[in-house]
Amino acid sequence: MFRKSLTILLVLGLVLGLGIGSLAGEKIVLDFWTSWGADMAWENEVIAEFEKENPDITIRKESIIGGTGYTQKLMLAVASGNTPDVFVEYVGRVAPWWFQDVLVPLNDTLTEEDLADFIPSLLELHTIDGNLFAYPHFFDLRAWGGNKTLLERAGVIDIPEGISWDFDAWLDALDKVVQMEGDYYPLVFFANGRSCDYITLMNFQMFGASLYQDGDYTKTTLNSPEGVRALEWMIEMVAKGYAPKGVAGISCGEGLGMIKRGLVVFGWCPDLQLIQNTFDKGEIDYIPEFSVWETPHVAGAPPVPLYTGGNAIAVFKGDQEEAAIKFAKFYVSQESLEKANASGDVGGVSFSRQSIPIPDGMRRSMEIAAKNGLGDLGLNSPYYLEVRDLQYVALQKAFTGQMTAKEALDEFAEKLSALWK
Amino acid sequence: MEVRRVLHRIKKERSAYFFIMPTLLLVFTFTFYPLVQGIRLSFFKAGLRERTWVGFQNYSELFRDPLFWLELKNTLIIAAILIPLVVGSSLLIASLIVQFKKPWQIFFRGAFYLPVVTSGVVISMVWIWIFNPTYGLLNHILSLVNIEPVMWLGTTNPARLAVVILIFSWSLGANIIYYSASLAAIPKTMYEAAMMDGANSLQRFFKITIPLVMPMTLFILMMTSIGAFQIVEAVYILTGGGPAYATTTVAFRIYQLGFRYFRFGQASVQAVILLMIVFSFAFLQFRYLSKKLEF
Repeated sequence: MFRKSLTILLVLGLVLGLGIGSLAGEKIVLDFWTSWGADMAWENEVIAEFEKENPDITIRKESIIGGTGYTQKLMLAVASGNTPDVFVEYVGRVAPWWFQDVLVPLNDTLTEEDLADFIPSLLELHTIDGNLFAYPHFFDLRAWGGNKTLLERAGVIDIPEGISWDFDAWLDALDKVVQMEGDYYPLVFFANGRSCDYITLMNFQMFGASLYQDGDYTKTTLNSPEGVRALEWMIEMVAKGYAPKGVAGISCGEGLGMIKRGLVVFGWCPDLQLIQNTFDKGEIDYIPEFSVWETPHVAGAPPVPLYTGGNAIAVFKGDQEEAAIKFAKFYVSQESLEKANASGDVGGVSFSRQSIPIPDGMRRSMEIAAKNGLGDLGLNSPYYLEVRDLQYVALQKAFTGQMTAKEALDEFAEKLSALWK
Repeated sequence: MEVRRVLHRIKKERSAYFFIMPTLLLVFTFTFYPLVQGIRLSFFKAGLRERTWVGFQNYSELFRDPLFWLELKNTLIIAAILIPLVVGSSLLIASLIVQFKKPWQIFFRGAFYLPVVTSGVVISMVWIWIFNPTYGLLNHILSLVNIEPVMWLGTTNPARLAVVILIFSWSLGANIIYYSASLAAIPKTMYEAAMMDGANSLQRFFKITIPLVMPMTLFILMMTSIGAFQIVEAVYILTGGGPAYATTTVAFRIYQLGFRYFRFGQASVQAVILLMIVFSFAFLQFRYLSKKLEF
């Protein structure tokens, strides 16, 4: 009798529960993947605010560390047809999904006000064949970090604080460092690894060569006389002891590690935020103001701030596109970006709207970008990752002496053209 | 008649089949089915979502690609150095350890086994610094004996050797444990009898130890060989396949083509070729060495 009553009660409870659930109405649940890898308070606030304004939508967030693991998780999701509705990742790892035809074009989703507020060149860099594939969240530029203590010890007197170094004056400073007692290198180059290709490109840009022109990789000038000169200069610097040997095997992380340990004086860094963090920790003591906007460069080579990417938010095609776009737009609204900016968790970067204050160090670079344009790595091209890999191989062949600088760069240009055939 | 006999036998042994069914299902789902699909995929030009039948085009493109032959060469060079090194060293070290007192045996086995339980990524990151040409530990040790610094990860042959050294340090532990178990099973009376007959330690090692651990040697040889052809993690972290493809192995290239460039058809072709190589190798080893087994 007791067992029978209990069974009836359980069944009733189940029916009631389902009934109440259905009476409450269909709630949209959006799966949202972010690449922070940690729980960001400002992001939770943005989500809470959105859910408050949209009580029929619930956001189910998953924080994944950005990078290879995240890409593979997305790959499995796409292959199985079980993608999140919205995701945030580094733009270079968002763009490839456009070419898989799984992202929603966002062109017609922005108001006139939005279009006026977003940084125009940034929107262009998030566009492929006229389609806006993601909303930009923030972006970063490459920067220098360095060791002022060593420079002073080397007798470099005029260490610029607010202006660009003349290329020859900069070379003089390098000469002084290399003559110092002890094992110090003025520079470090690295050609091993799958990141920090920006840094190598900076060395080419110093001489006026660039990876591609007008968005066309087949128009690379890396194998131009300027590009060849740049690579020959790097090889010469290593041979003369201005940079550690074994460039083909040194990774970006190692290079930065050498700078932090005070073994190397100057180094490029992929992003200003990373350099700022190492500065705040006291691992380096010099971030020249010019570092984000004007590198030493040969006469005639215009300084072009290199856009190294940043985070973007995109929407996968699916049944809940409308709600997903709504959330994605909210994520990059002025209010949300102000929250992110105020949190301090995303320091040293510039957010995608002009209404959000730009860090001082980046203001000048934005002025130069407005004048000379933003250099970019082709983050929104279909073969971005392969191009990076080919670039490393070309550098490695030149640094190991398997080929001359010209031969290696010519082979690289040939392979680039073959990719686009 | 034959079919009826088979069916009768299955019916008679149905409980046994029932018990092995879950494992069979797992093996089928996670081994045979992906294997067949992988072979099938090698005949397609396949991205993440699109798929076009191309027949043997992928194969002909692969055999015409100079990079494939370089990958194969790298794989064979690394395997040729690694396999005898790992097998020989494991046996030697296990033979030495077994002569210590028990507490020391436990200590040394634990010490050698530690890399096995450490993440491969962590080990690779540590070795990156050990191999640093300017500030690395290895070049520092070499400088103490007046040897010029080696560009470990920055030049072709040293980079291959660096990969071998890393995998070697990682693989020893488990094999030492296997050999220790095998050595413990050899009756001490055999060594005593040999000593009474005047055999020295080297003779005892070659005439008694090696023949009697041959079953374990066969196992370790096959497992090490299979592992040597599947090196991805170490290459990915340590060298990225460089410098200039010097350490790009077939397995690493499969990963690159499939998971980095989304070219699954081309990745599958290389996977099929690798399967054939590893299978042939394992088959030959088994055929040759199993004849030398003694119990």
